Amino acid sequence: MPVTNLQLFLPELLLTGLALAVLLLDLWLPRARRSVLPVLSVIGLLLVGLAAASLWDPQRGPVYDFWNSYVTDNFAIFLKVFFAAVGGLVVLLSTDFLRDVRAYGEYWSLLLFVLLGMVLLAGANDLITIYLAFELVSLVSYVLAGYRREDPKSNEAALKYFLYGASASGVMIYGMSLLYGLGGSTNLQVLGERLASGEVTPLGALALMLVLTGLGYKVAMAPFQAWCPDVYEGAPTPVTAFLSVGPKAAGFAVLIRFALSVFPSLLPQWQVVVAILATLTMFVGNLLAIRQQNLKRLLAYSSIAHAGYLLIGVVAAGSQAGWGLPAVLFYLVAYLLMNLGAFALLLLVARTRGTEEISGFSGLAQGAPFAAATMLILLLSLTGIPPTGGFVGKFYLFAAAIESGTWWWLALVGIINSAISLYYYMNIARLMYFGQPAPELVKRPAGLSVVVWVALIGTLGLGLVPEPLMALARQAGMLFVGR
Amino acid sequence: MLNNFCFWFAALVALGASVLAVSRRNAVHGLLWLVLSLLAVAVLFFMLGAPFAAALEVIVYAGAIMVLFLFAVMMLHLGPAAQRQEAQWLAPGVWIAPGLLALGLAADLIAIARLAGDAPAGAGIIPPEAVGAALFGPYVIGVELASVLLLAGVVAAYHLGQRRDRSLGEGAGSG
Amino acid sequence: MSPVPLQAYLVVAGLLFAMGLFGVMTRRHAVAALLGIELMLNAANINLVAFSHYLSPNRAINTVLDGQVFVLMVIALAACEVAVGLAIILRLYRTMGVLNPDEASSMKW
Repeated sequence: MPVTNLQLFLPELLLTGLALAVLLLDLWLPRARRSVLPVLSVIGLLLVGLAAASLWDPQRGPVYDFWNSYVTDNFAIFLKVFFAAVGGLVVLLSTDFLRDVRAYGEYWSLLLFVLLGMVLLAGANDLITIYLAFELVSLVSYVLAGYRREDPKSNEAALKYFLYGASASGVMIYGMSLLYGLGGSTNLQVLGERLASGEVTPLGALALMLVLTGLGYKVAMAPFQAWCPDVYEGAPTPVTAFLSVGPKAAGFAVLIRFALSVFPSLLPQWQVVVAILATLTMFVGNLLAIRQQNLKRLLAYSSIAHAGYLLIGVVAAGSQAGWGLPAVLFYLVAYLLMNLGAFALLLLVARTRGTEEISGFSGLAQGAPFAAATMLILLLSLTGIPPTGGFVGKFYLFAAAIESGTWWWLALVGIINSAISLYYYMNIARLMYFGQPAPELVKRPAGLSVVVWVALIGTLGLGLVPEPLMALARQAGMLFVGR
Repeated sequence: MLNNFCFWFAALVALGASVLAVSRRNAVHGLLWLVLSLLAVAVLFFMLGAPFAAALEVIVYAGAIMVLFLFAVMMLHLGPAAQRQEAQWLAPGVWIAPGLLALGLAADLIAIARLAGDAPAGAGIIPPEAVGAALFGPYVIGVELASVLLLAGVVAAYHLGQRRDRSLGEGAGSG
Repeated sequence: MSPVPLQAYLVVAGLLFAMGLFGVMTRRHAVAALLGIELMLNAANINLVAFSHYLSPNRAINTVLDGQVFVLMVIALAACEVAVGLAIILRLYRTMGVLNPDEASSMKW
């Protein structure tokens, strides 16, 4: 069906307009007045989020648009609102960093372009659209990782990210070309139907593996995680915060849509593969995180581990979409809040003490009790201890695994891994409360403070009253139930 | 028969040139082999009834993208070691083989152009108009997305390419 | 009438893809690795065009166009990818004087 309803496309249009407006304003505004750009970006992203939220309608099924290459369903809308939130928080995180490097407004427009790619990825329903949106996200991410162009570490991060990412996308496009050959179409639904009608061929399995490899790189799934720590350490901290949540969530969105609409016929095969990879990812992330002294690197490994937890939900979604999908969506939101909160505190501490090592947090509880307490709560949430959003999210993920029957053991692996992660998260807490000396956080830039407050309130809120968000996540996941 | 021959020839050129493209020490040599490989792939496209894709493969891929590569490699001016390799550049052993292969490929292209009269099996030849019309019909979102992608690419390359900021030192560390 | 079977094209594409992957994995020089990536993209392109040609007789025109349009998109994307990639490589070269992500390594495992 051709273009029927541009109203459903409103968030994307707004975001495109915003990105272009910011790009042009950066050219026109005198240098001194460019600080208006982040403000404009946050307001714009708020509008995008509202526009997306206004499309929410639990009763409506998926609406296919643009000749079926784009779909608006509750799953996509949920993610669009999520991405707008990611964008808003990352802009707030970045204002301070950009004042430091006295930088250039390209940052804002580049960030908005990545967000546009992510939003489009949420609704892409065609191999071509998926591929292009995916590449928009990837390409601009490489540049953001290398944004501090005079800093060798940042350059190196960009190059590593680029080489790994571009190879992965080469592998993925080859897999997609085979898929197209198998199904004779690039439309996901048509592909799903055609693949389901035939028997499972080696070519189909190969295509699945290739596409999975490409997506695996994006979400830093083991054994494709090698780039992750270096990139996360080298990239500017606000960008690292963004990379650990944004593109990763977008990768999961595609993974889920692919797995559930194209490969239902290969369900047993991909479930086994993803389950094994999930186990591997969790162990690699957690075990390697233990030895890290640099907090950015530690959070990189921890983000690998969290990708592993999310994969549990993806596996479970294969057998029990009603449980697995909402759990993944819920956990994404919880992870966004706790992770960005931790990064905001890292930025605050690094400002004062000039180091990104864990030792920078030493004795924080005496100098800045509120910041230390917030960090403690976020760390508890990352570990998965109540009463936090991280706990509830993990609970839903593990429950989904148990509910799916076959995959109950993934819950066990997840619990073991949470126990491992307790060690290195609590190591930071120990330093904060029992370490010396006691620094005071002299400056608290407004943007960072807002992020810290949002993270704190959000994490506790999700931990104490998870039901409203979970209800929304269930409605978003409804789409794939019954397949 | 001729069709068959053209295919095998183009395929062998593509494969041989690719082997050399990835195995040459000198980046410039590798690039030139890759250009040849791309031209051979364009021949394959042409035989498959995709003249538009074949033309773009030559113009954009073998033309623009490879020239970009070449410029970048030159900007990297790789010092004395590279210059020694540059000296070998004029030795016949280096250019004679790609030259012959390229000649063969050109002959191949001519033969195919003669063949163009009788349509191969399958879909037949899809004229560029049909592809163009489709681009702004069913695939319009892809086209728009590609345009945003290119714009973002321009902004990104601009940011990375700028030499140094006048008057603005960048802070040390990476906070 | 075309005596060349689909399989032949797929074999060529497969070989090209393998070579590209080999190049990416073996070459440490960043520009050479980028060349390997280009080979991989081209292999995918051959697949797409070949499928679009051979799959079509019994299916709709859409099938044919899907493949050809996809190829155009891949080419557009490759242009963008190369531009960004080379910009990154040049930048690293300017700050560190190396072309090799491993040589550059300032970060440890």
